[in-house]
Amino acid sequence: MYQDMDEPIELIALFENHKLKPVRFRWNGRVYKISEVTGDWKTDVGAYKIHHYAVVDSSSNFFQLTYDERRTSWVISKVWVE
Amino acid sequence: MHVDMDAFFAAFEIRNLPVLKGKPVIIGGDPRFRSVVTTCSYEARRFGVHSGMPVAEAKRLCPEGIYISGTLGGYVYTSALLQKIFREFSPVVEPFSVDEAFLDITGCHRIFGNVENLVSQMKKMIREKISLTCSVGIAPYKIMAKMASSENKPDGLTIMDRADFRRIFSPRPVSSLWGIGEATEKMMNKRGIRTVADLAAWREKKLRAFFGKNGEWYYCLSRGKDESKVYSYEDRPEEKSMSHETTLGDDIYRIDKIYATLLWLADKVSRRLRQDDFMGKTVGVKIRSSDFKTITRERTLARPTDQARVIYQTARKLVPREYGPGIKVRLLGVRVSRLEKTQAERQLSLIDDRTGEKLSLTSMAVDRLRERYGDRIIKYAGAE
Repeated sequence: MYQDMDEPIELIALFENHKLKPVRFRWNGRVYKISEVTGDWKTDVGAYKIHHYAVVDSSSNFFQLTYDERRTSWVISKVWVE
Repeated sequence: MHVDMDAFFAAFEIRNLPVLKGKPVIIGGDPRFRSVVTTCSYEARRFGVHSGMPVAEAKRLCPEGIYISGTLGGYVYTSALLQKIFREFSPVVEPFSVDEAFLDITGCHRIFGNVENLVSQMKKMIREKISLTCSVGIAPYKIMAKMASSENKPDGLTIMDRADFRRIFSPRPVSSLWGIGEATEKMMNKRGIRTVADLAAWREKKLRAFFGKNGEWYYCLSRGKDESKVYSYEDRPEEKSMSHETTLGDDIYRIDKIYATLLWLADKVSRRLRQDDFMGKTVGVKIRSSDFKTITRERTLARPTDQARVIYQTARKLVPREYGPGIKVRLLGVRVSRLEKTQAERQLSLIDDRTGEKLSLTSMAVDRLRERYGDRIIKYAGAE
């Protein structure tokens, strides 16, 4: 099941084919290398956008990462736990 | 052409989380609370799970199912991307729901060589841009195209003409026709109409005599034939009503809670009215109690309105006195109908009614705040 979170992270991304592609992020001191972005979408909060990315890391952990334009920051919004 | 995404919400979640592939995935919220199944993967359907079923029942049928509450924002965003893709293949696209659309491809297929190529290229674009699949029905009529798209799911293509429709649907029960549910089927069965062939054997006049104005629709349905056009969003016929309803997480029986929910619903309806430049003259409420008894009441106002306070105050007065202590309510709805376009009427109210003007300006300010900062920035005191 998905576990909801709101944990700040530091993230590195590439701009590739006119799209932003998260590459790796650091959470609680540990670096996670993203092996695949499986989905992305945007939602609106008033005039601002929240960018969502579903990613899997090199250890097959699944996360949803979001970038909030209001805060100009990245968080882990969900993690999949078996 | 009718395009129907395959188990859209479930497919979206499985795309994002590939570990779910091949498993029974059910979108509909936490089984601990009241919620219904919105949709489910094909694997879950094998257990008898279907849309509209209470999640608790789905849990009994499919205890190993994976329950996900859903990602509404993701579905809406993806749906908008789909509409853009559809427009690459036809200038006339009529969104039918978040995951379905009708396309008028008359003549368009020649650009692609033939219809099969058009569909193949559209499916390829959807796969590449969104990583999802769809099923397509192509037919001379909208009803037929809609029913055709369900024939070979998932990732299907069905081209159907009138002879195909007769051959495929005639032996099937009437409930296999679009829009004929359990209640209508029972009504038809009482008259000896069990199959689509039975229904097609009835003349239109006789169907109208027994089923009223629906009889004309059933006549068309039994033949898969209708004269309705595919309308693009810009050319769509005027709205007849706008409404919002909600199934409550827990039954409520306190009248203040009922009123608070009505205020919230009135706020949502009024906002939609203003967004689309409509006002409405008739306000209605729908109340379903915990024993599934549903009542509706409505009242026509002296002047049309798009104001939450007016809609709420009218709706509140429509709640019968017996509601409150003793009767548990599970669903509430507010509806505004007899819609008119705003411009002329708003001019009149600005001149004639100071109170109306103030109310109107306040609502516009609230709308602007929400457009900038989101819906949660402000709400009516007392709304749920």
